[in-house]
Order: sequence, then structure tokens, then C-alpha cells
Amino acid sequence: MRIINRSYLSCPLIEEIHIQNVLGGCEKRQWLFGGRVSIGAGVYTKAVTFTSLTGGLVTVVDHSQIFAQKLNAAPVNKTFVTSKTGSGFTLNGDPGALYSILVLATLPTYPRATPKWAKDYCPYCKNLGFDAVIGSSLKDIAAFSGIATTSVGGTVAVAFPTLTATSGAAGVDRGSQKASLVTMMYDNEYQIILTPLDTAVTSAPYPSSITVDGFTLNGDASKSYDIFILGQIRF
Amino acid sequence: MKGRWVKDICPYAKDQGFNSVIGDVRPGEKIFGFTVTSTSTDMTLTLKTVTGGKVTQMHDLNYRVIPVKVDTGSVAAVAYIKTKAKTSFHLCAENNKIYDIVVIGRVLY
Repeated sequence: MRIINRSYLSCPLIEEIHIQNVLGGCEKRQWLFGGRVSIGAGVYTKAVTFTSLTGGLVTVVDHSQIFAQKLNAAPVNKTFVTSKTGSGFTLNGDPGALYSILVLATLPTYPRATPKWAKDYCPYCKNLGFDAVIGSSLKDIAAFSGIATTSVGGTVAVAFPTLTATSGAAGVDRGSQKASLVTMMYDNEYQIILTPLDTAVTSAPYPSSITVDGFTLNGDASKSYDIFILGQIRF
Repeated sequence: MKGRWVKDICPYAKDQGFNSVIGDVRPGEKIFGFTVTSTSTDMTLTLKTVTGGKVTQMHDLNYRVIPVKVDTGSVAAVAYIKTKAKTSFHLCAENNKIYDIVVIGRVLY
């Protein structure tokens, strides 16, 4: 059995860049990146390339998982993805709507013919039981997650200190002496993905009132949702 | 914010062509993804099976799952997740459709 909660104190990355931990992975050369995408007025689809999402830093992938979440307004045409290729995909949704996009992609072997496991290369990753770490195209980006439950009115104000609290029911085994792991984001341009839990929903969830401190989760009444955030954390 | 590139600090990242790495706030978390075709509207996904053996069991139930339909046809029902266990969870979605799924949490092995 691996011990997976060891300290990162030895890893120079933690000291040198603005992250508290590193996100581990299970595949070689896997990247996580995202961005905001708008569908044009009067149309229901938008072709998205990895090049446009990453500013040209990722152009082709071997395989990927793609996630999309409408922001600011309830989805009329529920969001889905078609035409996945090694260079992009088609986003299907509402005309004129804004979406958070998240891509977990494994890059092709070429031009690096010998991708390595982090555990075979880096003593810190080996110590942590990480087979791999997740690459990024941008500086200082972190991923974190949590769970929130809407009120009987179908909304809940999600605050990052609460979402990442280190005490109480939501804070079990967080491995920190801080009151919360995330206080606020650097800007409003972070990506949000929501997943309903436990029972079917009548309306697709969406976030609104997105600020550096949190956002409003809109969904069904008294319903729990998995929340995934990708962006730059201020502290 | 120091704003430095990881590739300038970490020899592994530089060797693998990573400009940076994704940070996290919780120790020991991993992310992994897979693509499945649903075989029912309430499908049990066993981690060991869907990840090809890369992940067998989560450390605890405090992990997150994101499913998104990546198939043709408008979405008739919003996909949701239920019955999270350490070795499996249920994807409740349309039958015979392709879904991308990602999991973030602490992996036991």
C-alpha cells in the first residue's frame, strides 16, 4: 500500500511556483488545460481547436477527455461534445452562450520518442506515489474540487473557503492546518464544471455571479453537486 | 505570484516538454480520465476495468467525477453520478452513448 499523504517540502516546485501541491496523473505526458469559449449568435455549435484553447502550445493530442459547462444562464440546449479529433472538437449548446472548457489530454509520443514516468525520474514524485504529474500550458494553474448542496430554492452561494474547508464534514482528511485550502482566485477567468449527484435532475446546473471569491450554483432544490475548478489561485 | 515556468526548475517537466504542471491544494490527489459507451441508463463503472488497471481503488469517497456526453444527438437527460464507492461508481445517463469521464481524488492503488 502506498503512503500518499507525504509532505511536498522537498520538492523545489512547491517553493518556486505558486502552488501548494502538484496534481498527480496516471498516464505519461498528460496535460490539463481549459478556457472560455463562446458560441456565436444564431448558431448552436462551435468548432474548437486545441491550438485556440492553448494559444498554440498544444496543437495535436493522442487522446483526450473533454468537458464543457455553460456559464451565467440556464442551458436550453443541454451541453454536449461531438466530432472529437486529435486537434479539437465541436461544442454543442446555446446560441451566444459562454462555456467553461476543460481538456485532459495525452500528448502524442512524437517528437519525444521516450516519454517517462515521473516516478522513474523524480525522487519526490516517487516518494509521493505519483506515477506521473499533469502538465500545463500556463503558469501557476491549479485544480481543486469540492461538493456543494443547493437550498430549497435551488441555488447555493459557493465560497472557496467553504468549498475547501479543512474542518467539519467537508474537511475530512484534507491534510492541512489552514482554515481552508483556497481563499480566493486570482481572477474571474477560472473554469467551473458541475456534476449532479445521486438522483436525476430536472434542470442542467450552471454557475452564475462568478467572482474571485466564489460563484452561485444554480440547479435543482436540495441537490448535491460535484464541483471542479481549474484556474489561478491567489491564496 | 512568482510567475516562473516549471520547465526552468524541474528537469522532469523540461524533459517531457511540459511548460508547467498543474498544481493542487490537497496532498496526494491524482486526476485520470477515460471514455466509455454506456450500456444502460444506470451503469456501474468499475475503476480497474475502465482505466485498464491504472487505478483499482480510491483512498476514500471524497473524490469528484465529471461526465460529459461526447456523442451525437441532443442531450435528453443530464448525466449524473451516484453510489460512489472506493472501487466503482454509477453513471446514470442515456443508453448506448459515448461519455468522457474524469475523476479527481486520492488514489489508493
